[in-house]
Amino acid sequence: MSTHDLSLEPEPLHGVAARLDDAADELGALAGSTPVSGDWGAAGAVLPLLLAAVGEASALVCDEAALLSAGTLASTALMVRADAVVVVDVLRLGASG
Amino acid sequence: MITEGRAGAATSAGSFDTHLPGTPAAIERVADHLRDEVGDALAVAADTAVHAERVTAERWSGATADAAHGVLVGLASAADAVSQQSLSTAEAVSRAAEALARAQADLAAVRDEARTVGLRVSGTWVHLPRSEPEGWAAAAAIDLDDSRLRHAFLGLEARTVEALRRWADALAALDDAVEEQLRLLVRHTSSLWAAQLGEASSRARALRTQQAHLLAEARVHSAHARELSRLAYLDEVEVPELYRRLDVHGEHVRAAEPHPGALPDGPRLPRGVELGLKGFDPLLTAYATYDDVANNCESVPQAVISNVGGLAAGTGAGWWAGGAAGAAAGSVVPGLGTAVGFFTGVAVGSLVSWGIDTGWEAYDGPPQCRTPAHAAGSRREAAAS
Repeated sequence: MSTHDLSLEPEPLHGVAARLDDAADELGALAGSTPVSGDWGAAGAVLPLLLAAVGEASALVCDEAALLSAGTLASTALMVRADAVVVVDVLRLGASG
Repeated sequence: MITEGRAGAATSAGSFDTHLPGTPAAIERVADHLRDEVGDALAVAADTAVHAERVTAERWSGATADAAHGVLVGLASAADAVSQQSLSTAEAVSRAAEALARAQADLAAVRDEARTVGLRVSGTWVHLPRSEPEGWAAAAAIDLDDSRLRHAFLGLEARTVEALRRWADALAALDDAVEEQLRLLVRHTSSLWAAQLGEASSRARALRTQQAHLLAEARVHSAHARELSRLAYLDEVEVPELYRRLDVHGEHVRAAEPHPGALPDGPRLPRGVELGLKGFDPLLTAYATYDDVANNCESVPQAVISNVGGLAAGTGAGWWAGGAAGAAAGSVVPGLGTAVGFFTGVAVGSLVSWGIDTGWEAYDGPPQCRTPAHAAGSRREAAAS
């Protein structure tokens, strides 16, 4: 493992994770909502299908964003710990040298 | 809508219907929903993913960053494509609403003109004089002397048919737009692996059951961990010595890995997860253990067991998700299996580690800070007070 492999700035990535999470929240709320159904006439044969498909697609994007947010946070936390290990080793080598 | 038989036989029947159901405003609300809510939210999600991809590329490097970067690019692309599709379909829905409004206006104009020229109008029905909607067969026998009325009647019937034909064309266009929308939505979202999340969640629930097994096995490992704790304060342990002892403990960790029989038969361990298991995760676990003891006031046995438990469970989850989901999506998007395995493994591993910590503290009480650093801190706090 090299320090390059562990190059990481956690704060901006935490901000990224928070924004992804917010976007997922908004999409998640929308995925379960539909406009109040009225008298759609003959168009009523296709509009529910369309709304369901768009809701499904939004839910997929929402889940993806939420998972990426959680994954980014979790991996960032662990990577920070690994960075610290490198720092410890560097300091130890420096002290012994 | 023209009732079958009556419009076509209007000359002999003497009646036709101008009724066209539907409320244009209700259809327009669907367009507004697609445009102003779904489309905008997806556009925000796409922008967010693009921003995340840029930050990830600039501020994070390494194999895991590459995997995360690739998935973020896919998310941005899918969110943008679905957003654009929602907006274009909203336009098709709006056109349908406008077409319905136009058709209804045309039909209202037909009724107004019918009244003006002297035809009888009841509700949405237009009749030749003395004919009745219910009795059109009998009305066929009526002698229609008034050729002017007859001519107007036929002209209005033709306009009604034309208005309804335009509405039918608009509906066909809407059908086409929806069909295209469905096709593109499937295409744009098929690259997302979030669909696998449900199965991954099920697997995570199964791993929570395994967490109970891990806790039971923790009793065995705690004997070994107590050997470490005899040093009392981990701060006194040199880093190489800590790693050596953790290597010894690794033999015990392997015995605590998820039971192979509890995992589904599946593909081989993904390369990324395998490498992580061999090199990266144990190092993270080692430092996480150190960090928990030094900074989070956990006892050595608790820190060691919670972190190696998380490692074992996370590895199992990563193996499953990287294998099963990766087999489904990895062939299309190279490297995706690695990303799935990594994120799921990390997430489940962290969850199990947290669960073990929580269970441990419920049983053994909250952690007590006993390291020299914390003791010195406590003394300083006492002196200050």
